[in-house]
Amino acid sequence: MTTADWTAILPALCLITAAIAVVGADLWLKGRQIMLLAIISAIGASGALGLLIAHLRLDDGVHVAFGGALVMDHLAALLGVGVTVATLLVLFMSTTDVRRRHIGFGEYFGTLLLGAAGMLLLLGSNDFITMFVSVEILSISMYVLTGVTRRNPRSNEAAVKYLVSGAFASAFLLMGMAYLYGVTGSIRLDQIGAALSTGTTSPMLIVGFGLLLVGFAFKIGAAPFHMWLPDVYEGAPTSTTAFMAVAVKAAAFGALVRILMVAGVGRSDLWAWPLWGMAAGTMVIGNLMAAQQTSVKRMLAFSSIAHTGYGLVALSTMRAPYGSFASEGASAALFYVFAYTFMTLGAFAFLIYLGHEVPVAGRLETEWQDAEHLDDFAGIARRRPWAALAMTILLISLGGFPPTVGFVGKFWLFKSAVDQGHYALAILGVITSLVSLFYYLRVVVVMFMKDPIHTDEKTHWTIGAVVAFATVATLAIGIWPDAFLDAARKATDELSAPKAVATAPAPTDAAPQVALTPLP
Amino acid sequence: MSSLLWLIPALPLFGFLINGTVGKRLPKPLVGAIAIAGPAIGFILAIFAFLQVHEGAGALATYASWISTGPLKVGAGLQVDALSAVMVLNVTGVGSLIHLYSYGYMVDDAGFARFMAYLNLFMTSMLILVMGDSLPLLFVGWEGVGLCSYLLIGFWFDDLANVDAGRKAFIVNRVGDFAFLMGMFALFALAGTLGYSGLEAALGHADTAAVLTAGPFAGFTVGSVLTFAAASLFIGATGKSAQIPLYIWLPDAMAGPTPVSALIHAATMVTAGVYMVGRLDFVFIQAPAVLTAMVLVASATALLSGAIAFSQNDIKKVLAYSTVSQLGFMFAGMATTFWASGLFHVLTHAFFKALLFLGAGAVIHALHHEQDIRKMGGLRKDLPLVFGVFLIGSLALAGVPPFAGFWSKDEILGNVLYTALEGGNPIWFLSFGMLVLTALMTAFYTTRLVVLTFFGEPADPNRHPHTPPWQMMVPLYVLAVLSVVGGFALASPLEHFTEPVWSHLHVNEEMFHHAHQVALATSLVAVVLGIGSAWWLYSSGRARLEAFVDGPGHLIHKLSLNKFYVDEIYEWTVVKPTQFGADLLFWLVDRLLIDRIVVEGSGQLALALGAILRRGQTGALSIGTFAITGGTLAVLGVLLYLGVAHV
Repeated sequence: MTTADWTAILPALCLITAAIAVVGADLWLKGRQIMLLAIISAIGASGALGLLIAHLRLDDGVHVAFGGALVMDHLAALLGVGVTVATLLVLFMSTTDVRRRHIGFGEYFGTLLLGAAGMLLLLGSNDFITMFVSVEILSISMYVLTGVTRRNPRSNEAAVKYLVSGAFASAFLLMGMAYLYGVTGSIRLDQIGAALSTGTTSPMLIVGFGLLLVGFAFKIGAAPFHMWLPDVYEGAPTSTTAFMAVAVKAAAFGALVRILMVAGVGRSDLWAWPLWGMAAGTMVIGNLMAAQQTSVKRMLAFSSIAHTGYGLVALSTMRAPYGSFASEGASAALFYVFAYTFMTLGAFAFLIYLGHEVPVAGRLETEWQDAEHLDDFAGIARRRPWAALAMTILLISLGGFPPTVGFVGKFWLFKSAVDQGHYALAILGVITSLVSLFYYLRVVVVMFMKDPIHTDEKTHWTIGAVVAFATVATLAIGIWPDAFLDAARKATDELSAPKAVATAPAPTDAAPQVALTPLP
Repeated sequence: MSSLLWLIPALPLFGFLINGTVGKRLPKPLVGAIAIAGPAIGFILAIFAFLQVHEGAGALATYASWISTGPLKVGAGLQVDALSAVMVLNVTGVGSLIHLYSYGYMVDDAGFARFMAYLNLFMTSMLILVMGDSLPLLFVGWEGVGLCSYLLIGFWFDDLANVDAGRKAFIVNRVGDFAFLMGMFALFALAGTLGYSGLEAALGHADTAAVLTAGPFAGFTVGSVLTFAAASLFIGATGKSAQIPLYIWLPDAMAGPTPVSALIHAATMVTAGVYMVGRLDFVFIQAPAVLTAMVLVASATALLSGAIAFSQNDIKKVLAYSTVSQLGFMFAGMATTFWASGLFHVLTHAFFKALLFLGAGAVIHALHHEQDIRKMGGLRKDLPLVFGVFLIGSLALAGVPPFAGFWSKDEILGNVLYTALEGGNPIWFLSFGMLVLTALMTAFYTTRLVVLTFFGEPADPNRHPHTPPWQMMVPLYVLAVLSVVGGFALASPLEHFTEPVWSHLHVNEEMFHHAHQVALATSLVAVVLGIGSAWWLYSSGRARLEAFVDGPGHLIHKLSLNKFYVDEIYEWTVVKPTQFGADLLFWLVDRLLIDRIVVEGSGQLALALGAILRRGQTGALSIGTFAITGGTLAVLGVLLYLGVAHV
């Protein structure tokens, strides 16, 4: 019962330790020595990344720890790699970016690392307590990071909006967990799954599960729970936006997949249709709204909503219209979320790369401003052909063209939908992807065919390196996706294998006190 | 040697990569050296390969598996047997000379490095074409030389006419390529393989009467499929090797720089079709109907283009139509199944036609890019050395003994006559007649060309021709020697050398001998008549010529001058209807349906819908939370309906 398998928690511990060290050191250094803090943070994140990669490479099965509260499996490791890579890239950018935005180094790095730790824990969490605590760790970190540029009113507004909407979602989430616990007497996902799959018609159980779905639909930005997302993404400093768009989404998607595959596996007849509706609505709203934007940052925010919709296509079509259940869709969604990390992070980083200083009204100082408007991209290809090429590759990957990873991912998503007979959703996905080409390629057109408007961008090699890394990864995984496809497949295989969680000592009775046995 | 075979096509590729990327920044002599080194070293290697084949051991090397899908397995392999060895020697030998010549001819051109890079790429493609051990590899080379031909015809791309000529060559060749692919598919359907050795093993002695039971040709006999394949392949060859009906691109291809005309459009690329027929002899020999069609097409092409060459005034155009005409001779030689005679003419023609083109290039170069022979005249005194070699080339082309062209042309005429006598088929007699007439015309227009260019008085007394540099003269001397001795020195060795590739038919020795004697006599009479009449007409000023053109020769002159209106016929039967159809599709399908309705329409729709949605996205928190609440209720409602009420 008290198996302390440290494999499951060690990556998160690395990040937490580094976060504490950074915050402590910052007190000592009083806002100097940004590189030292960055190096400490990077060591922590690299340690976590190394452990996660080792888990994937060694392929040593499912680790269940702390009485089934936390697991380490392919799902947690694969998306964990995505999260930690994103963390490292954002850290790398931040060494320049934080200074330019006059943000406190220690608090920024510490909060970032804690947020990442929350994500790793969420990916591995297998019961409601762990899950809720992880959600809150990452959410609160994100609220802070959104408002971290304290003097910027947009950033403040976004943080408040995020906090209030997030509170709503957390409330739904918690309420759902409470209902489920109240009926089943358990907080463990597998035991909830057992209770659900008996074919129950208990309204409390179903409502509880529904509220759980709503909570995570909010986190991944699925329509109609997406309203907060564009404003928050737009208002937050772009490095935070990039982190949110990839890491938070990966963690929340991972948790959603785990909930569906472990707790909801027996009742796909229940959740398939609400998710179907969300998928359709999210694709349509995300893409149509993105096409309306003239701010590239806001466009990418809506595009992030649209991509959530594609992921939901695969999840909702795991159940065929009349019948069988196939886990292929979950694999496709996991791979897509992982793949999405690189192209989106790269695209947001490109906005920072082309940023410039603007004078602040009424004061002598200047303020850092990322390239957000379409005009900021005009004629970039003339001055910076390689950067424009990189952004083009990232955008066509977002649009789903070969030979990029975006194509492989989208192909697999829609293929899994078609294989299950969900033609309508697949067709809608293709049509909305077509719309997406309009707004992705508009940026390319502006970069290559318009005359420059600004020429005062202050590029820095650290940001450029992140764009380059993301571009290369987008191409490389697009050309050699096999290892990651396998990992995604293995992740869902482990989730659907009955012994995956059964290796943990399962409580024999469903009394609440059994599941609430104190953790080690 | 086998292990080094890959170097032969790889060396020019290396030159292409260097000159094609950084050539512009390298000093010109270095660019030239790099470009010439590839074919020159290749030539030395080819000699070794040749000697190895001569000792009876073919060279064969397979490097990797190239395509492997289902039953189709194609290796990336090279093969040098007697046929390939001769072709490789020809390509690298003449190629090296022309590379050297190009240095002198093009060194002052702004695109010098690009030119040399294209030439190298052409060498690589041509060598893959003749050395590949399977039809797909031949096709790689086939398309590669086509690409290089296109690039080099349009080399001076600031002139629209050159670009159009390049496009014409490319498009006309695509028609042939389609047929070529069909032939290839048919052979694959029959044999299940595309390697030469596999094809020959499967089809070499096929039971032509057997009826196929499966595959795309089920219900047809093997013989009919072989005929279809051979016919398709020959149509493919009419594109690349400029025969009726697809010869029309070659005269226009003279828009390219003159060394290109010599290398690609005379000595090497245009003989690819002849090579292909010789390579697939076992297919063609089982399709006698195609061979008869081939001799008819070939001799008609020879006659038609010979007649057009009569009255052309552009020195290169005369040589271009002459090339088409001589290619007809080569195909006629192949059609007799005395394959060696066709290959022999490929070789001798490479020598003297390259010589003539390069000589013409020297004249053009000396006269500052003047190509109209009416504006030349009297160059005998200004450029005596060029005159000397050009005369040798002309004698060889006209078929005067003992120059090279005489031997190979005579052999082909003899073989055609023999086949006609043996089979008694009137088509073969007709073809023989047309070929003899062509021989007469060849002698005529060659004489006319020499007389107008080098004899008489200068058209412009103030001109100052400059002497070509040594890089241009050395290749001319070498080719001149080959044009003198290439005929009698190679005639019988070539036949023996290629015996392993082409097994001989049973020949009625007496009839064969007889046919060749008759052919010899006829062709000699034809040559004398041709030279004599041309000399009579052109050597003594314009009066006699004008009297002829206005009088008895009016019709033939007009037809010849207008190239028998073939281009116009194509314009009205093929080009215009195609353009009309394309315009229709463009305006109706592309502009209206796709652009207006599908693309713009759907875009407008998406934007309009988005504009409506946008009204909801005000950023106000209350709307967001309202949406969350509403969404939650909707989700719960659906779940409860499905899970509770619906059960």
